[in-house]
Amino acid sequence: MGPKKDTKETSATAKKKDTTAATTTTATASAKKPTKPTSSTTASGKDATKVVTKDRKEKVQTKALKAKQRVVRGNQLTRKRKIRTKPRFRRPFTLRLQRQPKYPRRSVPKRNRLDHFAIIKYPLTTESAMKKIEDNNTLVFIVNIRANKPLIKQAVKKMYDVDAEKVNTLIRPDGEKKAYVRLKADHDALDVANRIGII
Amino acid sequence: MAHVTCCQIREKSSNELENILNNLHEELNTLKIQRQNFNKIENIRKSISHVHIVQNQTTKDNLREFYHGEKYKPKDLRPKQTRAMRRLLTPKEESISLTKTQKKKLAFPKRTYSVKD
Repeated sequence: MGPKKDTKETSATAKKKDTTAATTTTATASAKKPTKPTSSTTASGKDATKVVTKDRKEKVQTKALKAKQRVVRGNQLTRKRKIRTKPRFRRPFTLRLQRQPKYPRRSVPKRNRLDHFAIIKYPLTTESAMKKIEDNNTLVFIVNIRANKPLIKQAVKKMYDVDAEKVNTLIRPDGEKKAYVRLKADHDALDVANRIGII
Repeated sequence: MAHVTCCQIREKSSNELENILNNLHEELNTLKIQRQNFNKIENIRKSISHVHIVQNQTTKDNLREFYHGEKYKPKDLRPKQTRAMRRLLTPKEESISLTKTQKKKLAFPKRTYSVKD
């Protein structure tokens, strides 16, 4: 720091000389060391800046020293203790990072085995099923036992292009699931059955 | 379409395979409604499984290529072996020894003798 200080002083004095001589400014001085251009105008201003720069230097020094000490020592001296107004200590919120996996655990996600082909097995063509088609505007399907009503609705929509008003299901004694799919009023079950091939 | 074999469809793109799959499923549906042609039904079921085989094999192969040389691979692309074998020391780790023992080995190697008749 020593030699640097000297150069600063010399530059300041040089500046002083320059301005006392006359006119312009700190072209040379500023080339040597960066200072504020405004500070180098008047003679009185010159004195003031000389003092300021020295002081400022010391200030900066002590500040740097303090920062270093703080880093080494840790913030023990000026740390304030928290005022606790309640007897209960609750776990504080800490940082919870999101997962950033380095690799996916499975290379390929599992394929959905219960797709609409697997849900609807086949439509029933028994006499009572036929009756349902004609009278109640419903189709009767044998359905995968793991399918539920909304899934059945979606599957029927996807496969046969019909909207279902409601789906009723039951599990037959032989372990198969039967679904009564009542179609919406704007569909005719008889037509749909013809189209599918049930009739 | 009687029977789809894996050889026939290996060169197809994934879109084409999807189409083939859909067609097969629809055929299967119509047959199931008719409740006849059980042989044909079986053929179609097998064809569907062939398409799935080809799909899965190609995706797996592509993924293996993709992860080739990477440090972290998905676990199903790593060698399966057995649980215990995966936890063993690698051959390199096994062969590490102290300089002390290395020096000893050099200084006092195992000698073989034979008896002179």
